[in-house]
Amino acid sequence: MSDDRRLVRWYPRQWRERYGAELLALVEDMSDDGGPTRSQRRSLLLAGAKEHLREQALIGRDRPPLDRVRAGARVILVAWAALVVAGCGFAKFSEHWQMGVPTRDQLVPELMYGVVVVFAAVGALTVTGVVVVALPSLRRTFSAGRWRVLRRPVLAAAGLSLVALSATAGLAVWAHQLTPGQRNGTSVGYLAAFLCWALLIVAMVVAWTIAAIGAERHLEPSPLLARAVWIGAGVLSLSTVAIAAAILAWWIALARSAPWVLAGNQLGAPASPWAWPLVGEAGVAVTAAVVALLGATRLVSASRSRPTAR
Amino acid sequence: MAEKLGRNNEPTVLVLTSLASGAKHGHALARDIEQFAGVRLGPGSLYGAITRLEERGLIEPLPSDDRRRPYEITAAGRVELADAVQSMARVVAAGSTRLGLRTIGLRPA
Repeated sequence: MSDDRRLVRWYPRQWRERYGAELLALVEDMSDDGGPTRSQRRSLLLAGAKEHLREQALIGRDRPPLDRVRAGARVILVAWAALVVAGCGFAKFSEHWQMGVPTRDQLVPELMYGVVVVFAAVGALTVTGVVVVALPSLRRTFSAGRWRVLRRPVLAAAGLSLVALSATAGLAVWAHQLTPGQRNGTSVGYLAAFLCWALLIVAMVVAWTIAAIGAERHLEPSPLLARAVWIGAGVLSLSTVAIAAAILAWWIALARSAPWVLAGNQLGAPASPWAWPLVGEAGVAVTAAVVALLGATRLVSASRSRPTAR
Repeated sequence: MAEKLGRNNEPTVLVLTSLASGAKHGHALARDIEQFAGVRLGPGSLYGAITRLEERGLIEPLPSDDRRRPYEITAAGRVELADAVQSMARVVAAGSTRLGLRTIGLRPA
């Protein structure tokens, strides 16, 4: 790629085809012999990113409200997918946490853990519900010959799910033959296999999210599906925020009353509350909550606006 | 119309103001805007504004064999710019009056 073309690589392809040559001519005119300045490059990077966001109907008000609602819903779905990954990590990290916490200190973390579990179930049911409502539209989409477009991401996600399922079964059988110590880090082979399995799960979640977004783009939503997407996106964003807040509250409660649980130390041993796996999981969860709120804001503001004349 | 043009330093208003005096290509626009408004628009901001304005039918490209394609303001663009200028002028008038400065002539709102 030539340096000129590299300058406009941040823009969407359609935009580049229409304005790319003009923009490069402008950059040439604006630049001294030394080529584009750093601020010009920054301007192109930011503007290119903005054009991408506009193309996806994620910013601006120049796209129809329905496009903006769907864009908001897609953002919330991505946030939920990230939260699912963080939630799996949290579930592993928090295994058997009650065993290290005195009974008198269990109320708040127990409550927060319950919030995580309840909203995880609510989110999973919501996604399932929207998929069920979308089935007739999906069938119509496939009948209209769009299966060819969606085939690759759907088959990739289904294939990864099969591999993940087999790997889960294999790992479970192996785990039952190990001692608790081996399962928790002393067996290097099991640890490596577990990390590969975790990566596989992440890949599966990412693949299904890509497939769902691809399918959503090609769906012609019925009024029922549009309503289901709106309600589902609202419930998912609420669940994402609730789970992120509950993970933080659970962490704070244990950091104050039983930090040794977070460090994996014995009961009563001094320990730092900064457990790095939990820092990562909570960080992803909070980021997902912020992104979900941004998506919900987009969804609500688009729903309130009237269709715009172009 | 989707969005009203607002602040006087918005690239869209600056581009429309520049094109109100005649068709220009990108670099001529950037130089003119710097001259009359003291604002140096980056290439990304300038073409972002051109994209929005063309999408909304407020400017249109002129035929050109060169990569430096000129743009001209449309009738709808003139109406929109007049609206934005009046809006800004009312703020200027109110501010000038309240600060005891000389006011400028305006049409009623």
